[in-house]
Amino acid sequence: MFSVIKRNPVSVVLALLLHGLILFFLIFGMDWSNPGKPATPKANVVQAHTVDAKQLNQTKEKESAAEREKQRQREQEQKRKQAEKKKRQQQLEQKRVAKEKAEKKRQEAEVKRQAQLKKEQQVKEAKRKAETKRKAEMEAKRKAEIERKQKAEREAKRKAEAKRKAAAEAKRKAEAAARAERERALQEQMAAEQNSREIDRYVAVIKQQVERSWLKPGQGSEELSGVVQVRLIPGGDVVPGGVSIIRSSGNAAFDRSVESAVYKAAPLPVPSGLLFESFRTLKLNFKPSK
Amino acid sequence: MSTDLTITHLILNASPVVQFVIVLLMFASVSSWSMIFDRMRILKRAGRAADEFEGRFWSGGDLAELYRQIERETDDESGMASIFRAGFREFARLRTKGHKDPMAMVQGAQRSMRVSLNREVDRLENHLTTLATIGSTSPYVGLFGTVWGIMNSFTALGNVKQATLALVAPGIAEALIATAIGLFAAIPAVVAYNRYSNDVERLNNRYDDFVEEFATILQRQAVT
Repeated sequence: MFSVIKRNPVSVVLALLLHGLILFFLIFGMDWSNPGKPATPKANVVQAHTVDAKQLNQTKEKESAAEREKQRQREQEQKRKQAEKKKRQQQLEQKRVAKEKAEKKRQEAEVKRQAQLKKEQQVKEAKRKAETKRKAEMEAKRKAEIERKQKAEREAKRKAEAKRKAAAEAKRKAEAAARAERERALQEQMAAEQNSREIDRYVAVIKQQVERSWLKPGQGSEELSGVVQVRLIPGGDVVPGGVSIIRSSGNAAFDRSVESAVYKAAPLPVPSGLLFESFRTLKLNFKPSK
Repeated sequence: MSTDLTITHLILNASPVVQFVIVLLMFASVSSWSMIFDRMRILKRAGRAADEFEGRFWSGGDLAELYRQIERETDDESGMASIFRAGFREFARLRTKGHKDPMAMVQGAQRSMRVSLNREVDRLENHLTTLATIGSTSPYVGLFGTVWGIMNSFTALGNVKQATLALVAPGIAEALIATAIGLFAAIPAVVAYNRYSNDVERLNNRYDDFVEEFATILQRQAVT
């Protein structure tokens, strides 16, 4: 456990997270499925004693009549007060509205005047700017024209010179390249010829070795022929499963015999070094000689 | 007391022995899951490394060149690559010392490959026994907690005249939690143990095959 913490703390953190998650769901899942019991309402105890019904009614009626009278008076008083208050408020409101209107008009006039002033100033400023700009542009144009002419002259001169030089250089280079190319081609041809001679020699030896371990199937196979592809590794070992028939002879027994002959003949005599590259995948043509 | 049966409440009210058992099992579960994640990563990586190395080995390149490449990548010296390195190094050393007997050379290389293979397999199997232990013992530990809890609640039942179900139920419930946690810890551990020991076995077989194949190639080189 502790060596795991030291070597791979991520997995410990993952494990802790997993447990935390499971615990969380367990605890809260339990709480939801088990709501608390509804509380039982407490019973109210009534304390009662007997009363004479008639007497009770009379006193009740009296009380209620007096109550009603009082109520009526209170309502009238209140209505009066409210009407007065309303009137006062209306007067105040009218005054306030008139004052506000006057103020607003004054402010609007002020704003208009200022806007007018600003506009005039802007127009003046714009005119001045346009004038200076026009002048500066004319000046710049004149200068640019002169500059352009001078530059073009210089450029043309330089270009002509460069062209002359480049042409000479190119001619020289082309000649040299052609010479080199001719030499290289000659050398290559010689090397290739030698290589192919060498390869042919090796192929012949390989073929011989394979044929030596080839058990030819019986009669009737003299007319058949096929092509087999062999994949080799340095040292001449055949890669497992690296033998495949490219062009079948049409006779399955014949193909099988060729395949097993290749496996039996391994390791094949192959060259080492650079020359081996052309033996990595080798194609062999098969035909029973005599 | 008898109305609240949530898990937290049960655990907090359990007897000390049961609580101790529960804590022990939680620890076992966390450590087993850590090992599961750890092994998962290591085995996956080993399988990938073996695939990659087999591809390189059978691609037909020069063996000495391959050895030099692997020597250069010292950071990744696990699995087949290290077996190959051990074998080839021994073979080259014996050859430069001028041993004439090809059989002895191949046997020396094979022996050093075996040592390297054992070390690799040991590295892969590390911690698997702990997983197996957790898987097989934690149900028993949980059961012990449960038995102890039930014992206590029955002892308490013996002291009263009127025995009711409400008197014993919470005690039994809290005791059973121990078994539940024990099973919770054990099941993943057992599954992971089976799975991973199978994986290790398969990797071991692959390494074995590779040692044999490589030995035959070396033998052929030694004879010529």
